[in-house]
Amino acid sequence: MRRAGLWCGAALVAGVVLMALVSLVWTPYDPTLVVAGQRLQGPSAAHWLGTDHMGIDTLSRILVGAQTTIVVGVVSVGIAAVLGVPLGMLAGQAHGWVDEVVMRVTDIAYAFPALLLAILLAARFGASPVTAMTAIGLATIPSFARVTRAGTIQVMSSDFVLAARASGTRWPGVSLRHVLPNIAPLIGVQASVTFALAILAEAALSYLGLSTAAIVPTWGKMLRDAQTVMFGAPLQAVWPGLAIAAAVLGFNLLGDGLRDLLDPRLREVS
Amino acid sequence: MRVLAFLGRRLGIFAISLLGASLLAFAVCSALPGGVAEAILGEGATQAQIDALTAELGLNRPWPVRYLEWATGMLHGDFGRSYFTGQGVLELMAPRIAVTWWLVVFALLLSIAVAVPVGMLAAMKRRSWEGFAASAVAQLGMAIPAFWAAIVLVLVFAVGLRWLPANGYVPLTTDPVGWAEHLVLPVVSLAIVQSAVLVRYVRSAFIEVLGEDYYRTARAVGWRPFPALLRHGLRNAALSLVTVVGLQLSAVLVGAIVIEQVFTLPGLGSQLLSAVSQRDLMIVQGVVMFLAASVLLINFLVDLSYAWIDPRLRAEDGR
Amino acid sequence: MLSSTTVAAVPRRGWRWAAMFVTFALLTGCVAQSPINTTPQAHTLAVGATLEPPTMNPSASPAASIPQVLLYNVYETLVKMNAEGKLTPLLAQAWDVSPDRTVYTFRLNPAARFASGTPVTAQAVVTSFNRIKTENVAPPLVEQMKVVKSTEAVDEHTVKVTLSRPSNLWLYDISSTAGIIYDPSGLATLDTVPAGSGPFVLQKWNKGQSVVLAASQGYWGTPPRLDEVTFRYFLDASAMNAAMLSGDLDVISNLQAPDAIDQFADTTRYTVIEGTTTGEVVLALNNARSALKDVRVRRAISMAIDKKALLDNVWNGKGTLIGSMAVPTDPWYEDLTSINAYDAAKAKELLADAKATNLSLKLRVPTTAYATKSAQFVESALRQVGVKVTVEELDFNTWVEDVHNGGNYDMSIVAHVEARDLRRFTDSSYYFHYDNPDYDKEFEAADEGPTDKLVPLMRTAVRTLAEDAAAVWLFDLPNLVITKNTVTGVPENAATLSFDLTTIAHR
Repeated sequence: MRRAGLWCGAALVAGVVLMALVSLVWTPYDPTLVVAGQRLQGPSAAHWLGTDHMGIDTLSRILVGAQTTIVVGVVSVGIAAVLGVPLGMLAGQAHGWVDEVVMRVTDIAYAFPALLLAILLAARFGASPVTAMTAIGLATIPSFARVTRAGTIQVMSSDFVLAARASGTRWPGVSLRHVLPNIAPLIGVQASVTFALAILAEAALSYLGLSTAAIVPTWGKMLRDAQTVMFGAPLQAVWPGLAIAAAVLGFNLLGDGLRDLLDPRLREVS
Repeated sequence: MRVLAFLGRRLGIFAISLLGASLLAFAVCSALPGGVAEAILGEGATQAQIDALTAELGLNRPWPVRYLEWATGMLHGDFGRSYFTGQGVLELMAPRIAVTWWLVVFALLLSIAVAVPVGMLAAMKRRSWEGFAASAVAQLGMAIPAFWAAIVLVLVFAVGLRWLPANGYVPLTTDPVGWAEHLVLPVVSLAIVQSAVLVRYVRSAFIEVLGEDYYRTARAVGWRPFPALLRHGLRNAALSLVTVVGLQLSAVLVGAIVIEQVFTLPGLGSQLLSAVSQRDLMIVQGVVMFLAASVLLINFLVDLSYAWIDPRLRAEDGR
Repeated sequence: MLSSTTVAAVPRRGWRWAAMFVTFALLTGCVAQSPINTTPQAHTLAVGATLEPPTMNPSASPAASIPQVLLYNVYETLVKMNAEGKLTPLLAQAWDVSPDRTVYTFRLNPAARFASGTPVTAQAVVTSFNRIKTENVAPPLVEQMKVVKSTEAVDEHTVKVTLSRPSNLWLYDISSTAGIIYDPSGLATLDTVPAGSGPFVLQKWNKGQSVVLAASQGYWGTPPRLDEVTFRYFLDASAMNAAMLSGDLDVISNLQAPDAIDQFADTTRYTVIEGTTTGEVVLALNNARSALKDVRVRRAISMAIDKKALLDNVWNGKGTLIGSMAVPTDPWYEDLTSINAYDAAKAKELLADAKATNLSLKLRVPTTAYATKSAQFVESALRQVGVKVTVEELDFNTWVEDVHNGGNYDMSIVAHVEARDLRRFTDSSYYFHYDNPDYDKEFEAADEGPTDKLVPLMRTAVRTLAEDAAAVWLFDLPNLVITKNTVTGVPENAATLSFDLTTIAHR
């Protein structure tokens, strides 16, 4: 049963990635070319998911939307991991005030959840996908830092690290050779769950009009556009909603499944 | 003594975090003086007009002076004044805090009310289809954007059936019935996602309980599974849930920003967003600070209660 | 992790949780028992609007949301523009113009009183007009009143305004925000407390939610037929529609999502009013860019865009195609859509002539629904004739600073909602950077010429703009008002920025 979740998640994630890859080379129609006199058609043989309020094929936009979703997720998670993991490893290995300072900084960052930080940054720098991704990334640094720190502490107390340190290996070496490989699965779990969070946060920001990507289709923006034509063409609001839900579900299930595969001792710290 | 030292230390951390949060909010909103005067004067403003208004608003003073003024003001309950209307920010926030408060509290209560039974079911029947179904529904609930759920609820219950108002708000003191009616859909939409998240925690907390000695003992002396779990497990699971609920509270607070927008509830979230669109940065700064401080306060209280529950943790660092 | 000694405390904890369930049962119980009262109380009106005024002071900000609520309702002007675009007396009973058309003498209605009870005197007019020159007032108002040389009180009810040159448009301008007469005793607190002479007063401003107006007791003119009017603000068009559908609103002041108009097709419940506004949706071309200095390129851009198809796609076919900087309520309006009309083949030819076959332009638009959707259409249309367009969306304030004030753009789209704003094309420093001495002369001739020649002279100027493709006029925003069937007297056209409540009543 548990493995079923993992495989379901992996399949959904693979589906999203496949959509993005396919849309790089082929879509049924041009996903940005407005066609006069074709707006808001229902599903048909020519347009499997119908057309949107600008007369563009919805399936093509959903496919291209997968690209945006993946870019947003990868960049956000990338920012969070690149900054959060070293911080966590540093805190986990250096005891005393370094640990204290790092943890207190993440405390402050906890006060600014992704959406709040994105709104704050948008107020000052204007709303854009870059602002949104930066905000989501920065806001999820603390969770990466904490998971990494907890994992690091556990690894540091293990016999093989104690042995390595006794034989004179300095801490950068220990970090790279022993700690990082051992906590990698943990970080993978965190990345997967954060990815799901990033997709939801970006959708919410798009809905609030705070992550606007002009012509580039995003699922959140498609939902926002569909809301105004909801009575005449409810299906236009169904497709992007389904796409978001499928992607989030996929990454969440994948994260959960990976967690269950891990050592039960590590399960407690995440 | 040890407890007092622990309390003092936690309080210190809380204070430092507040300081850091206020510095961040200020740095983003106010450190650079530009933008405010332009936003007020609007199209076609000349540089001379912009300079004059900037000076009039006191924005040409160095940032440390302005930060200190703002930060010390907040200690006295003065969050500054709106650049547009000159009204006090706290004054403007006060009626909105009530709205957000009701929304958040009810959403949290409703999600607990839903999540605990469902989570218990999922834990007890985890090897049968009911448990699997409960977990699956929870996973689906987590994957649905809250605003999307809200839109669908409005379509069905307000526009279709006309049972409830589509949006808006009536203060409790003016019309208690209207107040309740206006809160139902927002609370339910916010609770959907929240309860889905909680179900997972409740489930794993109860799975842990199922393996504990006292549960096995209760079963051995003749308690049937569900009453045994209810009687002995709830208390134990509830304790570890305090932490989760505390952390979820901050998630609900942020989720409320979006939900308030869908339902045009005049809460802190919609105040924040309209201040962003008008670029009344003093209000943005004030609301962000208030929300950040709330999140920090919640975390602080969770830390305390966590330590309270597990005396071993009181001795060392709570993490 | 948890010790089993805690088991003993279960009952108390359990009871508390049970209490929560009961609270919720009560909450939902209340709801089930009380059907919603959707019938409006007599003589009150709930109006849905989009943007909340940033301040209650009409002179402090050019935001159109301020005159929407306050002009003609709370504040009055010497002359008023009616729904047909004609000037009628308001605070001024009558006015004379000197033969050289530079001196206006207004005779105030002696009955006119401010809401505070003090009479509207010539001195109040002088104070109101002079403060535009001395206070920090929104730039467009300063611009409109620049032509005023002096304002004097001849006697208590007579005001003499001397202009530095004749201007036909000035009288139109003072029918709007620039010409508001303020109660001199209330100037200090204008930001939150209006001080006007209109049929309504501000009762309550629930920031972020609504503005409530109440009938002014002892109004000097015809008393309004409504006791209380609430303007409720919705940033989200769908939320406003939902509120109308669920019966919370009596009127949608201007439907922002024309796609939703079919929701109000039930004629037994709703009346849909389709009129015109003063909001021209303009595809602005930065005439300072070398490529766009070439009239052939500007005309090609106009010809590449099928405005009819754009209107259908972007605004559900609602609105008027105009062809130049004039709207149907302007006295000099004529249909100029045939000039530089859609002809993609001709557009390609013109571009080839101008050797602009590898054109790449930045289209920077604010994030308003009509602008972003139009931008998408324009990008596709220009792509078809070989022009590469990069669309960039900016939030409105950034747009104002960077594009409108900063001139940092190639093309942009925005609705110019101010009335008679074709004068903007005479100012080559304005963000269009349009510089055509012939047009300037034509406009000046119309503004300064004899009043009876205003219409034909202005038509010449307006036609020049169209032929020169100074910009591309996509469409005139429609005035889409939805009302419950019980509401009457809503004017069809919005010739000013005011949502004029003076004629509205319940059936």
